[in-house]
Amino acid sequence: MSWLAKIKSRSISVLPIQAGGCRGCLLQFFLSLSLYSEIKGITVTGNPGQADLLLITGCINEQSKKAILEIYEKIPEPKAVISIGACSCSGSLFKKEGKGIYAAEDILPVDAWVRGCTPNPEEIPGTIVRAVECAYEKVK
Amino acid sequence: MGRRWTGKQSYNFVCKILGMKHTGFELFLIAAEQSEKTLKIEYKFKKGDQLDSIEINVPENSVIPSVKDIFPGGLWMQQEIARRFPVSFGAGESEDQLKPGYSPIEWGPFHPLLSEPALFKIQSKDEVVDSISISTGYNYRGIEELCEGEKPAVVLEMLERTSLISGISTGIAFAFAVEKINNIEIPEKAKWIRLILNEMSCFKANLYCLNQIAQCLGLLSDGSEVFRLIDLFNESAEQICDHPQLLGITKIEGVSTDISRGNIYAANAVLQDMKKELESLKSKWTNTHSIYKRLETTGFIDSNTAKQMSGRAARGAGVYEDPRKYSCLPYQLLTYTVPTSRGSNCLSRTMLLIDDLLLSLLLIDQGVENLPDGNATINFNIAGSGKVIVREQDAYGEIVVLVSQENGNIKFIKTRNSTTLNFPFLPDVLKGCELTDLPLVLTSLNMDLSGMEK
Repeated sequence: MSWLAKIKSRSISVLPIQAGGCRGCLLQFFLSLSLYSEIKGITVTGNPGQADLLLITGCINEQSKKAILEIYEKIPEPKAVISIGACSCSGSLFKKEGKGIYAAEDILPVDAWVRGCTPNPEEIPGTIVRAVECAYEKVK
Repeated sequence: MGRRWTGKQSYNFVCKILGMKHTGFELFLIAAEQSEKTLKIEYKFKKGDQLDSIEINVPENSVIPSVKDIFPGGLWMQQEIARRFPVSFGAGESEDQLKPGYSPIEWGPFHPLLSEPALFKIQSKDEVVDSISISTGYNYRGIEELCEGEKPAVVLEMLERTSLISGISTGIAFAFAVEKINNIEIPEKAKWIRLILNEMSCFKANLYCLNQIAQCLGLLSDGSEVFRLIDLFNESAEQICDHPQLLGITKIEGVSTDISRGNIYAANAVLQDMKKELESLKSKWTNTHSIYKRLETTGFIDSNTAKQMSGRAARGAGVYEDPRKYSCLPYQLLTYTVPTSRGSNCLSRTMLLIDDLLLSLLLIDQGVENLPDGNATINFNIAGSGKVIVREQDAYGEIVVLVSQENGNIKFIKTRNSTTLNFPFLPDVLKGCELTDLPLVLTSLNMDLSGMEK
């Protein structure tokens, strides 16, 4: 049945998480889905059970860390994680000693990053596709 | 166990607050500052451009009377203070018990289509909301706390990233506050550039709102059309300051780059072209019976509640409100009329939203026409001390920034936007609303939860 895995017969379901921030990155993501639709088949889901990819935006604090880990556990394998925006990639201006702000890679194995405050929407759909392909490769 | 005030102390305090209410003042900010084991709480009131305040000093772990029965809009500001400092306001809020026969629904904070994580605990019967309790989920960064002790330039960068919606407006208000503390008079050109940028920021935020309303109505092609306008806006913003969100251009002593007149004219031409499309969208929505009826029959707010609210929720009920009058930007030199409408429903608020977009275009155009020549920045020492409050226009209403500076470093700041005032009214407004209408009603109220200090 290996030939079946090669055929991408279904769309990529993305579960975006707004960990705490200005919501600029999430809006750039929705903007990218609306404008750069040459890459078809990226859908948004709210159900971790149906998701292929976890998209993290915003500053991760103690409360959101717990929620993100809980959601990550519920996503079936193969799964990918991408971190979008300066806040989730590095903590940005808000990451200070002892303030309990985390970057996405501090808490999860991140497959791809789209850096920038705010990130370029043109880069987001391609990154999603490549991250999911990498996740499938790893399982093989 | 907290130390509760004596009856006489509580009586005196409540009398003072009531006195403010009876003399026509409105509560518009509650700020707290901690020094050793004492807490200083300031209640700021406004009546037009007149400001007044009541200050109380209380020991740690005190329980002081809540002002929510006199000024319901103060509830959320009290909660913010109670979460950060060792003080509580009146009796704690009790959780609603589930009534027999009613269904509990938890909406958010993980739902990705909700623009901001907020947890809505809803009790509904027959798909109609009976009661709702709302908390702002996990979206907490504590920007106010992170700003303490920092240099103004760092604080400005953080405040610009408070919210995509009011980000640049908060930054501009903060820059004006620091300049006031240090007696800096920035060049005229910088003021006009800031005015143009502030209106552009409001314009973009309102476009996002329009897109959300289109999506809530199921008008996906209109939503995509609005996204196309946002993309065009981003391109014109990049022409001005190399950043689609207009970040990084505001500076304490003016603006960071002197924008060329040619670039501003080019960006303005792109923006003014959107006027026709917005007008045609407005005409399409008002002339399509199904859209008109859907908007008209949802999200009604009674006039008494609407009068106590702020921003478009109030203006949609015919209440005149113009925060631009109290701005540090040269709005008084421009000719404009603030739109208001009647009906107090989703239709009136949505049409106001489009009118606000058109108003922003008008103000940007006038700002570009009035742009003077000269320098856009000056060099000045910002090592002063003082405390200042600044009121500024943002996309959804008024934004207030209280800044205290000591020897060049920020001692504390307190910000609040119109959502902070409107938030406590949400449970009453949403009661009786059908579950399917909930996203539309919430979107039409333009809640910018990122701009609140949670």
